[in-house]
Amino acid sequence: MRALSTTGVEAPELNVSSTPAVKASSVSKSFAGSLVIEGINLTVEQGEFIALIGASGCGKTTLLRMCAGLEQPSSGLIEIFGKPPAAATSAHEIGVAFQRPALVPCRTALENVRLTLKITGSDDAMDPLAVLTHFGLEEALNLYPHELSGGMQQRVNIACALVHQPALLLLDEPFGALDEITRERLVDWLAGILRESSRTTILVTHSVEEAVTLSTRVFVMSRRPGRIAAEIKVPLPTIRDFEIRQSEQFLGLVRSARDALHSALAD
Amino acid sequence: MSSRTAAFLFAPSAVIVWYGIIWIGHLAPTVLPPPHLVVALMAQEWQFLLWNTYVTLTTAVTGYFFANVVAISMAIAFLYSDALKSLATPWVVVLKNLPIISVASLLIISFGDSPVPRILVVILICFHPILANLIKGFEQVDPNLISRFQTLHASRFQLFRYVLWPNALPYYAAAHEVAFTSSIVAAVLAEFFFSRQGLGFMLTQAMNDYRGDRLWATNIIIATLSAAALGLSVLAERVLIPWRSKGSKRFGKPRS
Repeated sequence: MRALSTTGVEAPELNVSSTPAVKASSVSKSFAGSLVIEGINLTVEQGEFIALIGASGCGKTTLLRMCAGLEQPSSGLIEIFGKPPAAATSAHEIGVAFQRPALVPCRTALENVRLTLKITGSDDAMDPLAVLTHFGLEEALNLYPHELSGGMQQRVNIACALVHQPALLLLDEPFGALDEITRERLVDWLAGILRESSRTTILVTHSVEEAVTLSTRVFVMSRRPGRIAAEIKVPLPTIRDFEIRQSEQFLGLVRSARDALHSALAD
Repeated sequence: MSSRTAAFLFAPSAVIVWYGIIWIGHLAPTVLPPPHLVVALMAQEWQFLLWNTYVTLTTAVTGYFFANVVAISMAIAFLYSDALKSLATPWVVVLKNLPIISVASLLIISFGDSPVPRILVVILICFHPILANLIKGFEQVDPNLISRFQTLHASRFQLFRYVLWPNALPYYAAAHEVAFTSSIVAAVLAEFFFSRQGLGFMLTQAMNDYRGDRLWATNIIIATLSAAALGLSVLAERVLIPWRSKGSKRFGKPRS
């Protein structure tokens, strides 16, 4: 197990090769004859943080699940680092965190993170104890999931998604079920955690602010069947503190993302 | 009043009520023997009672063991084979809903005077709550947790060992509260039909002889065994799933 740097989470080496982290080519998906996703083309370069926003049921979660190899596209092709998603999961290159924390109820926070490593057997993994401490959970190490608050559960959940150092992190509305204050705190926290590494991340969210705060590009999805309706680049500095989030530029980006979302829903 | 105090008060108050009923109704010992006569009989025939208790317990525990083996094997088989589950479901439903008294008589005709029909009766009565709870436990697993483990490329065995089985354990433990208690009742029932030993046989003998004191002594033993079985199940639940029963007490209150 690799020791942690002083920042806690060590940045993986930037891969300079041009293989995109995620490449979706005219991907469509239907469930029981009803089309959920239609003709999505999407390329995520390595090290990028992209956000997918859209109304409920627009297929953004389905798209994420297809990237994780949990669903198969009905047509089209998804490649993760130039391979099929199943090959990426067997290489332990993917980490996922869902809206509802998926923790084993009979294991403590620390045991849950350790279990992830036991399954993946990663040799360059982070030290679970150090990760949880870095995530501000030193007092929760030996607590069972039901003894943790929602925000703490989600932090453990994200620790489980990160601990085996996946090259691609998939987050499905990780803050969707939390109250406003916890949510804002965790968004800041996640921004800080991910800034230290340059891990490719796809975040699915309902919240326009969350998307603009965290990502380098925001993709707006249309109503079902989901298509990419708009793409908004976020040319903000990496560290987006409170001041930046009050800036005209930030608010302008939020406004244009919201406009794009509304016109996507109106179509 | 704590539930523990209430439990301790149960035995003395039962004795008082017992004497009270005899006193109010002027009941003869042949109709309702007073507690001291029952206790005297227990002291006098303790070896005989103990031997028959042993016989009944052996039947109950053996049957219960096989009921667990059958239920666990079936639940795991159903988990991995929908075809098997569909095929077996009508069998399970019919077996579960057959009046056990009639089935017991059939088994005794077929297997004769051996422990086999009695053990089979115990299995028939006990396996269903265990099977039903295990199936429920496997079904109630958080689908997100399974998805997360699939993205980690977990093997089928790892998924079972680390996700499915631990999730089913609380349901399994809860099943014992019903099933283990019924194993005692089932063993007595089976002996009641056809046996030359055991507590169930003692009941039929005592009835034929109009021995109220022996009948009461046997019933007290059966009730005690059932209560002990329940207590043991609760204890097992605490040992098997510590994260449910005492987790929060051990590690203090959660903070946000």
